[in-house]
Amino acid sequence: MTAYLTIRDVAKSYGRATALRRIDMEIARGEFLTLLGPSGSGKTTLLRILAGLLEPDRGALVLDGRDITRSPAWERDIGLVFQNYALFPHMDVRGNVGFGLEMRGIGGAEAARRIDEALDTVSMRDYGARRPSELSGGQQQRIAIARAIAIKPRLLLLDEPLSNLDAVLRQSVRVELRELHQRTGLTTVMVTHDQVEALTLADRVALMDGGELLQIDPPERLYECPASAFAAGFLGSPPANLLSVEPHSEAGAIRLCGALWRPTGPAAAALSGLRGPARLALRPETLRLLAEPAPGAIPGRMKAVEYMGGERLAHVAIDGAAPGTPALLVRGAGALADPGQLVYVLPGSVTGVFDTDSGARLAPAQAGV
Amino acid sequence: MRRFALSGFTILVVLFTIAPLLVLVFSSFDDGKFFRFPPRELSLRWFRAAFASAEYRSSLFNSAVVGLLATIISVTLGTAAALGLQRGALKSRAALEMVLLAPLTLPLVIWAIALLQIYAWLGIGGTLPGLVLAHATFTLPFSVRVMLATLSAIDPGLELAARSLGARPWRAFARITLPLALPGLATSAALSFFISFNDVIVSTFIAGSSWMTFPVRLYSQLRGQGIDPTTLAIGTMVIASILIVVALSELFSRKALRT
Amino acid sequence: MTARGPASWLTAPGVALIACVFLAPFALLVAMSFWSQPNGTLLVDPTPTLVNYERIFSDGYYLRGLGRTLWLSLVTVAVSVVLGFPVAFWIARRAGRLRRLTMAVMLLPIVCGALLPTLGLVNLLSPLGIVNGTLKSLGLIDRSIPLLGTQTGILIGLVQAFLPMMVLPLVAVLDRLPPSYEEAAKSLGARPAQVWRRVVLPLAAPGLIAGSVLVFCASLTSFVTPQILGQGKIATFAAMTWQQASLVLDWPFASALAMVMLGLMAALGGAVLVLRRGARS
Repeated sequence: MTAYLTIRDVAKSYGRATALRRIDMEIARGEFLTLLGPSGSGKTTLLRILAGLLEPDRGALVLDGRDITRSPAWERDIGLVFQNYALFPHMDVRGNVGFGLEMRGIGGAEAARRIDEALDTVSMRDYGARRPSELSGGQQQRIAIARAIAIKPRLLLLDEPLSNLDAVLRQSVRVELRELHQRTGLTTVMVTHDQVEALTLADRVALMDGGELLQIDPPERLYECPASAFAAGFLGSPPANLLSVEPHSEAGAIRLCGALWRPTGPAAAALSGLRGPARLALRPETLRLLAEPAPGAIPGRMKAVEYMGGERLAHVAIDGAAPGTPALLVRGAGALADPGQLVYVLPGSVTGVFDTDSGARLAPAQAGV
Repeated sequence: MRRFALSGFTILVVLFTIAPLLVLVFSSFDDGKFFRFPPRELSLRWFRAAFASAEYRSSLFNSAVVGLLATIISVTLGTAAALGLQRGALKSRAALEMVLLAPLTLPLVIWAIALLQIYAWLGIGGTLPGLVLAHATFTLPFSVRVMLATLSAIDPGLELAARSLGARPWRAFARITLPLALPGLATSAALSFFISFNDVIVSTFIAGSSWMTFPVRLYSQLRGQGIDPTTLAIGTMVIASILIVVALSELFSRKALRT
Repeated sequence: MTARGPASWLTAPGVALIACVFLAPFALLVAMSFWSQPNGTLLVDPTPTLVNYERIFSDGYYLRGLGRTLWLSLVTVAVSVVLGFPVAFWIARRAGRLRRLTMAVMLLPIVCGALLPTLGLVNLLSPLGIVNGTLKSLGLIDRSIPLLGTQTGILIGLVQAFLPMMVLPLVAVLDRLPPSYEEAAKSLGARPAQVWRRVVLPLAAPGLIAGSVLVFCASLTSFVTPQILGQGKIATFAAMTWQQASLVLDWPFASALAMVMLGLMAALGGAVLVLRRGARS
């Protein structure tokens, strides 16, 4: 991969609070990257540094071979779509879309042509004379995108672009964003805290937490092979069960949340090298609920079943688990089991085994690493 | 750099805004009969003179009485009006609000000239009721504004919750809304009192010799004889009491927010 | 809510007070300005006449006073804009204690009335005062610059007194201007000066107009500050009005003078409304 945008050793703090610890990242030309993380993870800070609205304490940004670390926002040619759209209320739609062109000294027929082009891209050609206040949220968002791409930016930044839209609209705009990216080929960085957005839109997802970049990978890999306990516990709805595991004196047995368990299959393989306490991540949809005991199954008692439309989410209390252990979540279509019933949970695959303290991945080894 | 310049500029302008008051306080401690800079000697001479002067004492007393009575009317009517605006029918709200806030936008001098003549016909020129009525009128919009802001910050769901728990509307208001509005009530009372206490623009037209307020006395003295350093000491004490009230209300409202 | 209708009645006492004591006198003022007071008497003749207005517009004394006052008011507005805009911008971009402190300082001149600051200003501006004393000790001047009794002195007093009327409406407008507007303009290639001219200024215009009207009206009708700082040497229009009402006791004439100020303000308000309607369409 040849880097189009390089983020090297970027850090930022506000007084004593560290917003970004040390970020290194490379983004390819034409890539769609999402910055995913909980609030306070530093993703927005990084986006603002890219846009030139914040100056990093140290580090460098190189865009298309040019160091832009110290260039002011107005010289970067970077399109930015704000969470609240930030459409200028005193200008009409064409005034907004043409603002960047005007700043570049482009006027007359050329400007009109490019405004039309940008409005066509978001199918808003007929709305040119409207004021932002006369547009719906979804329409405002399209105009904000049109305004950002009208300047033919070298990089398109999207700050939580879908968060102010309702659920139905969000889904259709998501598809449109993907199409827009394919049509324009613009290198795009999008900030979001919504994992569905991140996973569905991006070529690669950069997962951030506490001002650090935890993992940057294609969506499938991030989901199926998380590099850290945090990643396993952040992605998925509900996210992976994180269970404490310890070696047991008995061969082939494991202490699972304090209870004895004899794993088989992939679980046994993943836990074979276990030396000390660790955390086992099992995704709810990879678990199977059985009514009868089976080899490798974890015995437990059904606490509650939530019907989620088409499928159910079972909360299972592991038999003999230490007090305070959260229930094991199992997602599936089965209608099995009433609360109070004895059940057996069989892991189909293992998402990962992680170090208890550092959260680093211990097993199974990541393919290709 | 740019932000630094803006902050510096702001500090300078803020200083300019309070400089006259700072100078007033500073010069009240100067020993001389005529203030000169740099000062020669500092003393509390003018403060002693202020306490000793029966003339100033009586005018200060008049100002305080007018201020207190006007404040009671202003806060009571202002709170009621704010409640009515907030909870009443919406269609007339804009017009009613405009009427209630009119004294903030129309110049008081012009009003005072008209009031002077009306008071003369009614025979209440220079009387306590006349002064109180006028002061209550021009301080009312401040009470309305503060109470509107205070009431709109209170979640209307709280009073409904109290009613659902069995409180009758009046009790729900007295037990829930009123205590929560207390900081706002204190603020509007302080604002009304000091604006009334320090008013010269209206009072100079309608105050007579029997109910001479302190600013009116000070104004005529300034036009005639120039500055009497005793008034500087009194001014300092007025400013000090304003600052004390502001500091207290800040403390009070922070405590109210915490609980 | 059951109490919707009756709650409106809570506004009645306040509205009645303002309507009877504040608004009604304005209506009477119109009538009184057309009455007259024959020379040397204190008796008012309620026969409608234009003598008061004729006197104002034929006597150079009042016209000159009006011109001087208009000029002072315009300069006060201009200086307030220059000083007030950056301050309002600074306040609007801040939260917490520093903002509250600055706002409290801006409210002080309102709470302290017209006299206390003027009292301090006299000591600040007098020949032996702080400004002259400092300049002398720095060796910048030998002889005191006259500030008291000059238009400059009055101007300083007016700006000091009315600056908050510019800052507060501006803060209200700028508070509703999210920083993302400026950032969006920047990211689209606007330099700081262009951001101000194309985005901040147009959006702050309503506050700027409101503040300017307020400062203008307050300066136009101010008489305490000009009288004390002008040391009685410079008569402003409002001071002339005060003099007629309080010293000469010619109330009909004072009413007419007040009506002239009211008319000027109404004209200004009308012009602003027309301008705003024009800008909207």
